[in-house]
Amino acid sequence: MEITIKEMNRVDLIEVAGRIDSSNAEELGEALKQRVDDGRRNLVVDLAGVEYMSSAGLRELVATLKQVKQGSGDLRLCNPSERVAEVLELAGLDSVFEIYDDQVTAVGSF
Amino acid sequence: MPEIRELTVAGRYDSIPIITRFVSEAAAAAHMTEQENYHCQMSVDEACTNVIEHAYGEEDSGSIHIRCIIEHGLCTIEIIDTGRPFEPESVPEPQISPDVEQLQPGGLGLHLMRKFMDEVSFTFEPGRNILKLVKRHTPELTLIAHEPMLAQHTASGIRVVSPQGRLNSSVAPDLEEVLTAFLQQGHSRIVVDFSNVDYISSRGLKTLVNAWKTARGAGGDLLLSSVNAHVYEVIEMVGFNQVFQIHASLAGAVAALDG
Repeated sequence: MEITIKEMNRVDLIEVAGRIDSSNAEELGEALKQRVDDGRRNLVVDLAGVEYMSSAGLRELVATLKQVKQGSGDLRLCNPSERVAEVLELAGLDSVFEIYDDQVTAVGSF
Repeated sequence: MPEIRELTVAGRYDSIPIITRFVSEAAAAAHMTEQENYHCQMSVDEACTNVIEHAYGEEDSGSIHIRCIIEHGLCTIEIIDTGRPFEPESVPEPQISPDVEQLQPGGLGLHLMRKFMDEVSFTFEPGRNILKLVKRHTPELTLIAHEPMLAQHTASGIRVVSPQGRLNSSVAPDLEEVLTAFLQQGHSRIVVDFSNVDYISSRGLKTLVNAWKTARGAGGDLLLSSVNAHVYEVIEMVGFNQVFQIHASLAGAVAALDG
């Protein structure tokens, strides 16, 4: 899994690529937690490069969402593949996360 | 004959990518689509993650054995561990609500497994737990016509007709028209999908037997699928369960004709 972070004025863009499962989901969780610990509250996670994500990855996203919501921020998603979008939907998380078709709209939504 | 593949790995999280690769290759050998293959990988991943987290309670306290039984269009996967047994009914449904404070995504793994697989069943024997997962390939169907009833075909040329409701003397002629058209066009591998049929009369049975004879005479066959208990009783009463191959699912019937 590769994680690239771009810090912008009001929003952090976190681009994730590769496979996310219980062997590496913690890395994603740590990277997101680091953002929150640094006082960042508006996060966009770009899933374009994610070819596979199990519930271990979803749990990390949900944990971070709870944290940023407490600080009046939000974690929004963009570019999920068809497979990842299906998992989000079956897990009922498509109504929990704001999900955008592209990076620009997701970042601009803040 | 089904092909059997087995893998034993240490019960630790970095075994998960090895497991999903193994399952992905098995699902490909069973002719699953990319989406079905993904469902198999995710389900086994979730199951094994649960074994490490709950049955063993931690990493490196036992191994996980995986057995894939591969058939054309059918993948049966058994996951065996020697950890603590559990009550599948005791796992709460994940609490997903737009109210973030209320979010409790625990139990999501089992929830997804049940969505993704055709069968999820647990067996607890003394000293070992077995989780059986079954995935059936759903054949892709292309529409031929809606009228007078839904007619479709597979990429391999099998014809599928799906009558609706009561297959009596007013509907049987429509079925006969569709079946005759299939046979006249040289398509003698036919499945009659009974999933939406709740009654069959002697006229309906006669239509099926006539088409079956013609299909067999042309080197093909006519199979029934998804017959409900009431309709099956009628078919059995007249002895036609000895005539027709009857499959539990459309996918099974298509696989039988493809084999």
